[in-house]
Amino acid sequence: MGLFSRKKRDTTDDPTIDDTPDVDLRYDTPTPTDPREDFADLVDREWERLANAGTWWSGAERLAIASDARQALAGEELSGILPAPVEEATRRVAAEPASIRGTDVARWEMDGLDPYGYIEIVGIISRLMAIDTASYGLGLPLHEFPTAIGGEPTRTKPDGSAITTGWAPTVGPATAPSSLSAVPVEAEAMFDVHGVLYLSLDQMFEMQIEREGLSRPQIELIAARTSSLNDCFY
Amino acid sequence: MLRASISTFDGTLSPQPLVTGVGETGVDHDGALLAFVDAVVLRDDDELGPAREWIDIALGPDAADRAAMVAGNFSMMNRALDAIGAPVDRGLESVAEEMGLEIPAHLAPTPHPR
Repeated sequence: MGLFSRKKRDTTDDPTIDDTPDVDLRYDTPTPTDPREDFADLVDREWERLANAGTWWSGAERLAIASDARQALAGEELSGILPAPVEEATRRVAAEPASIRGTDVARWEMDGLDPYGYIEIVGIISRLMAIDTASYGLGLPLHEFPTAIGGEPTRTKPDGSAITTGWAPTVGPATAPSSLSAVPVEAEAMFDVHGVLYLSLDQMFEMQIEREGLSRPQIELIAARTSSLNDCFY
Repeated sequence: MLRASISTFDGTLSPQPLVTGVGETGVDHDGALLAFVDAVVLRDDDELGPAREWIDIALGPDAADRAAMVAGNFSMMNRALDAIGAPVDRGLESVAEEMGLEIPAHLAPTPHPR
């Protein structure tokens, strides 16, 4: 259907004919999406990303990182299958992110963890925490991890990526939008999650936007309190 | 963002409860929202049910769902920013001072050598 529909009608002088304009001006607005359906679709996309080889890690390695991240947040023993610097980075990003310092990232690099591989670890775990936290609040059980899919990491670095104002590589200064930019597919995945759970980048500038009855100040209150609980300054 | 958004509604923000979790912020239904976010982020099984009920009544179940998703999103963003050592924006210095917080040296709003 077009933007709106009209039924054509013959309007003559016949008094038996109702001359009331028979025009249906109801707009065919897009079908509102169900946030829970959007969330389920997001989980499907994220699980597909998780199971496939990334830029620096295979699907099996990405799943091992995710699984250990869940264990770490729950305070449980890790699997022991990841190399030591990868395991430590996984535990710290999942359970103690505010404790990470540049000296840690430098030490992990000396022990064999490439800083670009570290960025992918950050992407995997941060999105997992988004999915798991939202699931908990929605009253859903933790989603079972998928099975790894074959494939090899591409190990490519984007032009212009370097360590600038942060302690891990970014394209440009280290900021929220550029945080995972040194591994572009991880950055794209982060924006996907950001748009479904919170706001798209375009919507960020709409201070009067509402989502499911929450006003923008209410949305930002949740954001600020979450950051405070995570000991995060941003 | 919170201050910018609340000012578009001619409101005034009291930021201290964002740190303490107690008190009035100037945002409608802040008590229900703070209780729910605390339960979700801290994965508090005992508090989640009552907090969910409170927010369901105050704002509706769809709003509660969205609140859970926003908390999820910022659990992601917090980790991404902390993990890469992004310096705190200079504009947040005054807000931090107002909230009685000191920006840690490693996040100071100036580039820091690795």
